[in-house]
Amino acid sequence: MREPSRTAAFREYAAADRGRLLRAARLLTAGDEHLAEDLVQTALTRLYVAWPRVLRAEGPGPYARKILVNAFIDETRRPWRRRETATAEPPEQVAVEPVTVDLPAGSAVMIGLAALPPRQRAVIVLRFLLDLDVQATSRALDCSEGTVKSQTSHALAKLRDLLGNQLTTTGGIS
Amino acid sequence: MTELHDLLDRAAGPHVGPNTADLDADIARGMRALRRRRTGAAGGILTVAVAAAAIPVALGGGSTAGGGVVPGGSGGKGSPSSAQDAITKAQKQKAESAASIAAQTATKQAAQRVALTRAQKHWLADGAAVPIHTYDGPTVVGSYQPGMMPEGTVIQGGSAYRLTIARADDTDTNPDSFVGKIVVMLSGRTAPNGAQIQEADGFSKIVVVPLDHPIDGSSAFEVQYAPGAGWTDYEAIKFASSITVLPTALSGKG
Repeated sequence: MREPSRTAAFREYAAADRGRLLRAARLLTAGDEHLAEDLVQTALTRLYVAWPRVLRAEGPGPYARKILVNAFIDETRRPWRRRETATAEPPEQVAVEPVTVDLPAGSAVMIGLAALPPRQRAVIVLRFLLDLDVQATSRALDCSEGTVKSQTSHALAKLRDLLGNQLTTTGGIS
Repeated sequence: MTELHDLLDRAAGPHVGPNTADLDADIARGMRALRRRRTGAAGGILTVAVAAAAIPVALGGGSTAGGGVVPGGSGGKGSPSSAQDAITKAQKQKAESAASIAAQTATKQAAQRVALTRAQKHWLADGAAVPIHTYDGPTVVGSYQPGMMPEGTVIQGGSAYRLTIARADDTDTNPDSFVGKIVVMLSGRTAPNGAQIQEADGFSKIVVVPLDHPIDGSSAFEVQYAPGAGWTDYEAIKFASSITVLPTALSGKG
């Protein structure tokens, strides 16, 4: 594929989808804006490199989502990230408490997402923000549909515990 | 009662389209990655070719391109000593050929590396020395506190493991991506006679600075930087020596 046509097509895709990827990344990272931007950059860089192959296969949208999620899960496995995360202010010693105060819905959701293991968080974001069905979610996470369903179930149960009556899910969730 | 989708949608923030600068930066990163992948593949082929050429020499004889003579073999033309001379000459030619290929490969790879670095436009733009100024900004997150900072740079990220400093216009904003940047971390090296420059490879130099007291098993910390920063050894050591390493610093492992 010639460079100008790759670049032009990539630019058109990124212009349309970058914002959506960034919003998904914000939720995946439970509000870590810098990490979210890093993940989006990683996804788009790999997409650019793989562009001709991606066009012949699943298409840029599904590929970018898969890379985004995989980059997020890889990031959570880094030992230094498990031990420390750079923040604007020094961390304080805070006891972990259930969410009982009347927080704005957005804050409570971020806290709820942060409490989920990475793959459960990814399942929630893919299925309930990006509205992917079970099959598309399983392809993005490279796992079986059964695993997607069980991860969904566990994640929803945990979110209900944390978010209480702020949360309902409607429609057929399988 | 709020549906989960609505909760997530609100928490994800506003839907804002990217600006031209974001898209240009994404494309630039993609192009660099594509070039690195293509160059890496070419380097691998050259390396294999050199290894293949070297094998007959390492084996000390055997078959040669000229339809060589097996040492001590029967039926060879001429006397044993002339056969041995022929073998020695053939081996010598093979060694010279392999050395020539190796030199050419090293030159090509070095040129590719320089080309890559220039394409990234980090530090090498004009070759002028980057001035160092006293740092009087806010306390830096992490375990490495700079007392001085190179002009035109920003702190990309600090942690117990490293401090990453990059040019302000560096489009690579990942603090764990170190190419073309200044990185400070605990070191496995030693500097018993004081801060010193140790050249790591063709791309980066390292200033190793001894610690007053060992921290997490390290007796020194190091500052990696690209030679194109144009610093003299004195300036590099001056900058490195301005850094304070806190007892909370941790060695990177793996």
